[in-house]
Amino acid sequence: MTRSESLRVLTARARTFLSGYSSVLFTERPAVGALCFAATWAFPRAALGGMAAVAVSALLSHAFALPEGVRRAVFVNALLTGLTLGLFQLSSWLGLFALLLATLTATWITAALTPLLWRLGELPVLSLPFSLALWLWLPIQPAAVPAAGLLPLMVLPQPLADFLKSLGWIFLSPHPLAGALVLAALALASRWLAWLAVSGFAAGYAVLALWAPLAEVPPLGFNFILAAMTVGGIYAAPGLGGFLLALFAAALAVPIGLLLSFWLSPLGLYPFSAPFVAATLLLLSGGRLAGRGIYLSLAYPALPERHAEALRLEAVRLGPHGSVPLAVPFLGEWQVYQGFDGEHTHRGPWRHGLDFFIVEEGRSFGGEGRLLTDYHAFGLPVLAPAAGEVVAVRDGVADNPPGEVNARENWGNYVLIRAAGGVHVLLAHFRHGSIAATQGAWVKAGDVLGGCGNSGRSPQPHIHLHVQEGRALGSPTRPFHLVNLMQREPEGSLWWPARRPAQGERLGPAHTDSGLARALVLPAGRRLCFETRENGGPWRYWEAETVITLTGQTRLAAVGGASAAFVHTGSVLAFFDRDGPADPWLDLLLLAVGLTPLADARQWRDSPPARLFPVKPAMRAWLWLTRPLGAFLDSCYQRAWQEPQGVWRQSAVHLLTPAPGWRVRLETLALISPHGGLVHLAARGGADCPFDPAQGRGWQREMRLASVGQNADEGIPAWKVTVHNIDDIARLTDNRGEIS
Amino acid sequence: MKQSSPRKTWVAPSIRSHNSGLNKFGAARHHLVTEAIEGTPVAELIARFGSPLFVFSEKRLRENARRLKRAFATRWPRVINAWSYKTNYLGAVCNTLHQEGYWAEVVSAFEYEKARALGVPGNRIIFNGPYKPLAALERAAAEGARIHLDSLDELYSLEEVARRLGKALPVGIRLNFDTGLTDPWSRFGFNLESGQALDAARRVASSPHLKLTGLHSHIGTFITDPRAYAAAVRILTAFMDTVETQTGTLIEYLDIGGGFASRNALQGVYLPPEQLVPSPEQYAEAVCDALMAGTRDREARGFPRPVLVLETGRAVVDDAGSLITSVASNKRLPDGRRGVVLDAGVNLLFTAFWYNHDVRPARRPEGIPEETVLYGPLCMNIDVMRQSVQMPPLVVGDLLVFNPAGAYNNSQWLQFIEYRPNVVMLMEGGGVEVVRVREDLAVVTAQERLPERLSRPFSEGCDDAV
Repeated sequence: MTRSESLRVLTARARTFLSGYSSVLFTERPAVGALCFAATWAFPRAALGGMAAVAVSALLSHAFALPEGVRRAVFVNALLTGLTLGLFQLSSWLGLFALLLATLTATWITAALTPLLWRLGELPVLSLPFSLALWLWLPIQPAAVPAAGLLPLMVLPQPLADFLKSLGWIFLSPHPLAGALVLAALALASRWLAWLAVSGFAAGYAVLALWAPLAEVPPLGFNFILAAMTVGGIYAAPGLGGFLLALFAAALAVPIGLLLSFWLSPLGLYPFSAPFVAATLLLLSGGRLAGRGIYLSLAYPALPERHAEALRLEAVRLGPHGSVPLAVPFLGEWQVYQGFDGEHTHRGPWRHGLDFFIVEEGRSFGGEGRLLTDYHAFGLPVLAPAAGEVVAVRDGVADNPPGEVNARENWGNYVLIRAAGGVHVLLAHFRHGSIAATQGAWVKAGDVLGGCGNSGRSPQPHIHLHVQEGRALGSPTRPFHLVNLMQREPEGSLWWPARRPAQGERLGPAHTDSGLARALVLPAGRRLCFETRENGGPWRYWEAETVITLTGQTRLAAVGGASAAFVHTGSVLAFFDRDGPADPWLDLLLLAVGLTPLADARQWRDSPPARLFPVKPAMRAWLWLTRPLGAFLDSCYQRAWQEPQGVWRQSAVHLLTPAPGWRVRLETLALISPHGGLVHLAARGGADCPFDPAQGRGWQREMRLASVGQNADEGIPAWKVTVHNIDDIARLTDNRGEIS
Repeated sequence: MKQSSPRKTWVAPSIRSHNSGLNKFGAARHHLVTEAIEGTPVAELIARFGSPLFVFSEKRLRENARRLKRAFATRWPRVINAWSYKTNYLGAVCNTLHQEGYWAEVVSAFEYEKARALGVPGNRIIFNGPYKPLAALERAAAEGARIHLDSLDELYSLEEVARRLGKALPVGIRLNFDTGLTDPWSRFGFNLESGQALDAARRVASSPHLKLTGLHSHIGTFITDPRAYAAAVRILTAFMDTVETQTGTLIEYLDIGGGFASRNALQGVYLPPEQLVPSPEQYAEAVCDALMAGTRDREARGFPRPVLVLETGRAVVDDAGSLITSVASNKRLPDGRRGVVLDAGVNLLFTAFWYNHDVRPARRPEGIPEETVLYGPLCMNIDVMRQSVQMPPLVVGDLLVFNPAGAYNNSQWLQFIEYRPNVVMLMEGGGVEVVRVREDLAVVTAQERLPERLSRPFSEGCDDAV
């Protein structure tokens, strides 16, 4: 091994070690870990104990080949165990022996409890193993007072000193300076977490003062902090609901902590982090069962900033949280006759319903409207809005003459589909004798269920659609929305990935353009090489490849380490979860094609994170200061087929609003060829672009496809196609490669 | 000396059936008049623009276009409606339909040029027809038009064009086959039953320069039985599966042509159009049900459902166009029928050769209707607008309105001894616009060139006056 290689291995190990420390604060950033590591050195023996325990657990993980998913939790619990034993009593061989046994126990409990809690309800193990292990092994030697710290005692106002000490307790360093380091680490990781730490502590402290004003209280403060951060920051999305839940978690940790202290103090034990774990698991589990109202993401814990971004993208791209996505149940353009909370029948438990009919020139019929066949909607095919099993069908109710209703057989002829997730989708008022679906049959979205009719409580032919909880007809409805649709506007159609249409809105399904869908397929192992340049400078190469992660996520990974996840559903190509170091070219690609419908869409909107927007450091600092949870762009996309070049030209305007009334604009362009996919990408800042305009025209970045390749697989050789004639692609852009 | 006194001329006695009021077939139709078109009085139009006059209603045109589009779009996911230029290529008519989202379907180099001149991009033109000159093929290929091949020779020409362009050109092939319900139009395209069509498909698929992406058929014109289209769709979808399996190509669209009937009365057909002609919805239901059935398992096999292309002409434009004409003279025919000479004949209403167009007077009739022959102004025996129609007594200058008259007349009309008149459009927002100005001598002779020696009609000094 050469010296540089060993240096690299050493650096990698150090990074892993430090990111292990940072994962106590739910991040993986080595810098955050370094601050925490430094904080542990307020009590050198504790620091040494922690390191020893980490080493032991690493050996154990390796020896028993523990699965990857458990190792992080093992690291955290071992670290905390080691720190605690070091802090309390690493003074003799016995102590060292206790450390070894406790670490072994913590590792084992972690490995045992992690899958168990996950199966119990996707619950995390947190630092529960650490508390259990210490309760088991600490009494070997009666608890000693914590060893004296390295740092001098400080004179601070009592609440502040308590707060900082509590922060220090997270790393078993009960000293204000260590606490300050931890606070700095928190602020570096996530300012929302830091804010939750402050407010969680305040809430817990206040409750504690009310409940046990006189009692001699063991160190509990860090439990309030951790509970608030975990519940409100890592598992709940940032927002008022999450914040209140965090405060409740902190408050809940108080009585649990007091109770545990009462039970454990005769044994000479502390509650350690058990109050935090108990409060957190209780709230997460309850919140999960609540199902709605609180946005909890148990399967994908993340920093609040990432939550905010995902939530925003989800709201824009996937529809309201908790709402059931459905495909448009008809073909062509229809109008919403009655929306949610409609004036006629969509009220009370049936408030979540949509009625559709067809209106032309203000009329839903041609001719005189006296016959059902005069009505535009009558007899038109009604499609299944979701895949599922047809659990109930009725097809014997006669159609009412126009203007009359049959309130006795309210739903008329209907089809009830049990879709994924156990929800039931009801389509009603079918034409008598038209239903093609049979009970017990499995349908997929888009299958013809029958014809639109006028049976039941229906004065004129229309489709009624709702989602209900149970199987019984007319059981309470749930909110839902439609996906992949075109909304008709006076000046054209707007494509929406998800939308809940309002009364009077005209809409129709979007239809996949198979040519476009094929052009943008990115199979795993695809290598895209672009030539890039800025402001007309020299061309440089930039390369990225598509990979599939172990969990099955497809990502576009640039050579420099930056990457973003993407999905190609057949009807949309969407990028999200940008990760890794700065990479302006990946950012440019994500802005230009971040949300690309594979339908014949001409106009649509998106709201990508502002961190993709190239800005000056001063602006970046301003945004960092004013938008702790990240800012978002208003992006408006347009696309048209362009002859004679034979490409789709997808242009977008991205607006960043650093402050009310102050807008910064960026334009992007993507040329999509039916043969080469993304052949040209460009971005241009306007006159108000924060960049220094190199020329009078403003700042500009361009990427053009140089080659497309595919990585080798066993038995399948790699291939690579170079774009021979760069002029071909250059010709696709306007003169001098300028975007217009 | 006989005193001249006003005496009636002798008229041979005849027996006439009573045609007014009710008879055993129901109410008489002759009480119908067309005093106004879209609210504009017919008499006022003639006063402003002269007689005869073609009148188009923008509102009606758009309504027809939307109704047809909706009928299919609400039954099939992806539909492309194309406007059949030959039916009526007046720029105002074409652009009204293009604004409604219709592509252009052209069948000649002239029509192609006209569509391009109107601003239709090449990739929104469907190029059909048995004769496409090389230059037109080259232009259409370069501009991205969808070309439908009619013969092997055309295939070879286009392959050469594509080779020179250096791209794999997407093309379709025109098929002919027997639906069992229509007369096969076997002169167009490749015959399916004989295996010619599959050979052509294989030939296209094996070419490095061509890519087979579509199948085209046009089973005929004025087809009043929607089942014929259902049969055509079944044949096309089955052939699509065969072609895809045998050549590995992906058929992206099926073009079922045009031929939907309009509310017009074909000569020799007994039932009135109101009873005979299906609605757009009936056509759509037949076509789309057959398509749904024929492509049911396509998505499961990983193939997208094909785009449906329609090339409707007559059904969209026919009743949006009227021809107003004036009575020039009355006469009594030897067989006792009344004859009326009009100022518009088959030179303008060319389709009168095949159709009994509905014709109505523009004012309330007075008097008992009788069987009447309507003649045009031409000095030819064949210039008959209606062989037999019940008309009340008409006087010179009375106006008659022929409707539907929008299909084929403005493309097939003749400049034979008469000028072609004004064509106006009643605009949707109100007002009337001339969309084709009446011809005059300068227009008709504009293309003529007189050789110097023939520049004068009579030679000097050679006056042969007796």
